Amino acid sequence: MVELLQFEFMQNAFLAAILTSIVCGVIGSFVVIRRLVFISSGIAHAAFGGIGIGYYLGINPLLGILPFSLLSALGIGVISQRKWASEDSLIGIFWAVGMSIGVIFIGLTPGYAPDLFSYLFGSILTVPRSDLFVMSGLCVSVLLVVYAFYRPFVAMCFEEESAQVLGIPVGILYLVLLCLIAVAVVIMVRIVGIVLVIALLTIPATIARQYTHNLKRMMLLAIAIGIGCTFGGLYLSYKFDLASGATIIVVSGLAFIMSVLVPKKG
Amino acid sequence: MDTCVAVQNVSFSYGNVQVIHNVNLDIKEKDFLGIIGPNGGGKTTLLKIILGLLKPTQGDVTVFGQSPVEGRREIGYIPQIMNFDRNFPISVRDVVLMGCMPRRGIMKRCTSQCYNQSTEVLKSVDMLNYADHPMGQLSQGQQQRVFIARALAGNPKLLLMDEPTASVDPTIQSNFYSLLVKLNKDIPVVLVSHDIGVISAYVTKIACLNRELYYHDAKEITEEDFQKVYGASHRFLKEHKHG
Repeated sequence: MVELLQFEFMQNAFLAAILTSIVCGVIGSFVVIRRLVFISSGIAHAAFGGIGIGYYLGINPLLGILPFSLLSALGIGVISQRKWASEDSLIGIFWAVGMSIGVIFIGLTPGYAPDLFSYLFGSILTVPRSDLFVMSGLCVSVLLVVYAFYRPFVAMCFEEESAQVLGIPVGILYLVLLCLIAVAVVIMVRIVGIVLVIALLTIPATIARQYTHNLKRMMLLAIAIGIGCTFGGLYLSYKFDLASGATIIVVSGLAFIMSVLVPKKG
Repeated sequence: MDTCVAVQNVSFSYGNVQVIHNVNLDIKEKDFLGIIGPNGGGKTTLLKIILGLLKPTQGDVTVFGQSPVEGRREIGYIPQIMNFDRNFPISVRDVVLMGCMPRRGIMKRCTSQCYNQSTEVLKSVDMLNYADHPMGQLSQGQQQRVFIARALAGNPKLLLMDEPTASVDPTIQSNFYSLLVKLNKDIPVVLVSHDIGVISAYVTKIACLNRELYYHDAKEITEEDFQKVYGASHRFLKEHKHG
C-alpha cells in the first residue's frame, strides 16, 4: 500500500476516495433511510446530459454536470410536488431524456471524446489536482448544509406531515435534499462514474444501518466503510490491473454480503 | 376563549369527487371528541384541513382564532403510526425532542430546557425508562405513547390523533385510553377512527363523518344519523346511548 502513495496520481486517487466516502456516508444515509435510491439514480443518469453539453461547449465537464444535475433534481421535485406527474414517472423521463441530450451533444462535438467512458464508469486514477479542489469545495458545502438543517431534515425524513405541522417547510427542504444528492452525484462522477454512483450512495449506508440505531453514528460508520471499500478496491485494481471503479463496487458488494451473513446484535 | 377549532360550511373535493360536504364542527375547550366514520368517509381529509395541510374548496376554518397554518402551532398532532418506518434509526429521546421545534424555531439547537421538557413529557406517558431505546424496538402501543410525548413537548393547546391503534391487548388499550383521559383534564383531545367500538367507551362526544358530519355536541347519535353514516348496520349501536 505504502509504495503506491509515491505516485501523485495515486495520492489524488486516495484523496478523491476519502472525499467521496465522506459525501456518500452523509448523503447516502439520508438516501437509504428516506428511500431515495431510485430518484438518486435518475439524477445521476440525467447528469449525463450535462457532460455532453460540457463537451460541446469545451468547458470542464464538471461545470456542465453541476447545473444540469441540479436542474434535473429540481425538475423532478417541483413537478411531482405540483402533482403534474408522479415522481417515479418523472424519474424515468429525466433519466432517459438527460442521457439522450448527452449523446446528441457528444455527437455534435467534432473529434473523438476520449474521456467519455471515464464519466460513465469512472476513472479515479486520472483525477487531476484541480478537480480535487472543486470536489473539496462541493464536499464542504454539502456538509455545511446538512449541519445547518440536520434536525429539520431528520424530522422530515421521519414523517412528512407531522413535520409540516411542526412548522418545517417540508416542500422546500425536500428540494434542498434533492439538490444535495445532485451535488453528491457531481462529486462522485469522477470516482465510479454515473452508472455506479448509486452503489456508493447505497452500499456503505445500508451496511452501516445494520449496526446502529443512531443516524449520526450511521453516517460516521458509512464513511468508514466507504473509505475501506474504496481503498480496498483501489489496491486490488492496481495489483491485478482491473477497472478501478468497477473493482471498488465489487468490493463494496462483497462487504455488503458479508455484513448480511455475519450475525449482529439487536 | 371557548372554541379552539371552528369549522364552518367546509366542503372539499379531490377533482370532481366531493369527499366532504358542508361540514360544521366546533371543538371546545374541554372536549374529548371522537370522530368516527367508515374508511373513505373523509376523516383524514377533515383532519388535514384543520391542520392546514389541505385547503378547503369551500368554507372557513379557524384554529385558535387564526388560519390553520398559523394556528397549528398550538396543535399536538399524532399521525397514524403506520406512517412511520419502523426501522428509522432514531432514539425515543430524539423523537420527543422534535416536538420542541415549533416554539423554538426549526434552526435552533437543543437547549437543556428543551431536554428537561422531553424528560417531563416522557415521564407523563410512562416511557422515561425507554428514552435511550431505538424507536424500532418498541411495541406499537409504546410507540404511540412516544408520539403523544412528542406532541406534548410543544405544550399544545389541543391534541389531535389519527387512528389510534393501540395494540390489540385489552390491558394496554385501557392504559392507553386512561392516559388520554388524564391528558383531557388539561386540554381538548380529538380522536379520529374508523373503529367505533374502541373509542366510544372513553370519549365524551361523538361525531359521525361520511361525507357529511352528524354531530350534536354530545355523545348521543340518533339512529337515523347512524344509518346514514354506516348504512343499515344496527349492531354497532349497542355501544351507544340513544338520543
